Amino acid sequence: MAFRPTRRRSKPGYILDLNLAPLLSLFVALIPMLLLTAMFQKTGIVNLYLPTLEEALLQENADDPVQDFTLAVTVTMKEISLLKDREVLLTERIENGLELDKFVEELITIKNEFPDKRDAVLLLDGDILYETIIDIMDAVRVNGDRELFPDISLADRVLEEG
Amino acid sequence: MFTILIIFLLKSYAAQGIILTIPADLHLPYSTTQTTPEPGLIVEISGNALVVDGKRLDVDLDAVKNSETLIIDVLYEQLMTKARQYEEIYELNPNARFTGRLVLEGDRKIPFRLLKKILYTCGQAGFINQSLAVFQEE
Repeated sequence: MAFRPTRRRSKPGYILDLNLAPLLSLFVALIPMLLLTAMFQKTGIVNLYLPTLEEALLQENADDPVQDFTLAVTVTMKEISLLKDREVLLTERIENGLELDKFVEELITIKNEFPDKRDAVLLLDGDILYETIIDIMDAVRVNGDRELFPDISLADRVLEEG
Repeated sequence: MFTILIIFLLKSYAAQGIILTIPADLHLPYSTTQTTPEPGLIVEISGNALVVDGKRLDVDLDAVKNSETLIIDVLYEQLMTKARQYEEIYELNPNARFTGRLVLEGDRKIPFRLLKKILYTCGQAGFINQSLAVFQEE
């Protein structure tokens, strides 16, 4: 037996009402939860590296003395220098803002030469601002996706006599 | 409208790490780091205030900057109290090991002479896993 065609479908201008109440109650629960966990400004951390006594002793007895040198970056208000042990490799003036391109190139050259070297030390003047320290740490730490010298320690720059 | 809001919020949803609450007057420096914050004792340095785990310390940072000594006594006492608390928790719950983890939220304009004293004091109090909090560059 055939059904009689419904009258509702043929009625012009009829719109089926969607029941949005469950969706809205879900949104009402979701929005406060997401607002609480949202981060509008992403924060991150830069780890500082403090060598332990064991590591220091291990480094002294290292099998590979070639890698065992101190890579230091000294920063004053006027200039920034890159030192390998006591030999100055590069000095750049930073009075008119920090330009680290050449500096990074030199760091990459050192990394290519000593791929296992991971640590570096920043020797800083007391007046250097925190944001400058972070900028320099970024340059020493990574270059794009490539890790350069991520284990960075901070130290005071000591003026040498004479 | 709700859908747009939900999509925006889902994009900024932080699924991992901890969320650092940064006070409005504290301007962190920007960095390219991708490391997310880990739980630890939070030390804030903003303007002339030093705050440890939400408690403001009675210390004049200008005097600290110009002093000869490296250790900041008030900060050291507070950190030692915190370290003792962590040790007590560890005795009761061996899973909560004291790692000496510390997150430093410093204003971008603080000079190194102040930063080094704070870091040194934290190190002396046993907080040797030090991290610097930064804003991630987009």
